[in-house]
Amino acid sequence: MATQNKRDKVKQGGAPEVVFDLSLVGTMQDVRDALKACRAQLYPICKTAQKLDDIELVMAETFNNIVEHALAGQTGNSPIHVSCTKDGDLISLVFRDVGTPFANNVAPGRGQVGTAAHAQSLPEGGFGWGLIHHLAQDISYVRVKQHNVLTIVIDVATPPASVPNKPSQ
Amino acid sequence: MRLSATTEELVQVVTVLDDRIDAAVALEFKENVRQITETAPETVILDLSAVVFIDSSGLGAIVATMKYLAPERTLVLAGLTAPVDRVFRLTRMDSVFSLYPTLSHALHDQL
Repeated sequence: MATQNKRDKVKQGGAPEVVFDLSLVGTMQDVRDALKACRAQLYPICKTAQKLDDIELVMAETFNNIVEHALAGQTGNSPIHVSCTKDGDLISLVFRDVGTPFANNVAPGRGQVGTAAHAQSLPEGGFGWGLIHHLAQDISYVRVKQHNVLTIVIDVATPPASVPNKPSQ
Repeated sequence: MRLSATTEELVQVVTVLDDRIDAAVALEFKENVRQITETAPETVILDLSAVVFIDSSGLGAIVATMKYLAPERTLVLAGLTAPVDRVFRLTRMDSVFSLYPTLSHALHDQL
């Protein structure tokens, strides 16, 4: 279904348009600065403020994952490169880093989303990939010559993803 | 991570003065809230009205705060802006916390 949707949404003919292309070093402060810069570039192509917020959240979670996991333990300032292209209503965010690959060369699944019955057993983390999967149309990962290449596709025109239904009481 | 706090009888209001609770400040946020709520009464209202961005690390820090305060004290969240409210709903944390659109709504309900 996602593939069909993607095909319909892609503009016929013409090369994808570059929205932004930037590199940053893998620190949390640089991630903040990069998100601010990307948000400014994405503003003109997002139809709603909520869509812009969603894309910023997806990018933040992806950057955080790269800094906290892929680049963890690396000495020096390892670069992260991110590019964004727009093809019709779809944007493709491509993240590249030289960090540790995902286990089994597969991007993580939805992970932790949901509720726990008791406060003390609530998870304090693991929400990131669930948010990315919920807000993205497509996620793909390849390992190319010691680089992680993660591509996330988001539709900027469709109404923002709805929130999950609450479990029945 | 700047916070301010006021206490009135059974309720402490902790106001987040920064506009982001993200991975860059999640640990600091957790630590600062613990310090400021050390002698808090039974209800702590976290006023998030200045916060326009929260990521999963920030969300985790708020969950950790709620667990730290429990069971003697309850954490209530107030003044959620649209992007913050959305993260709570997308992760279904809206069913775990009491969320109020404004601080006055929360105070009205708690006092």
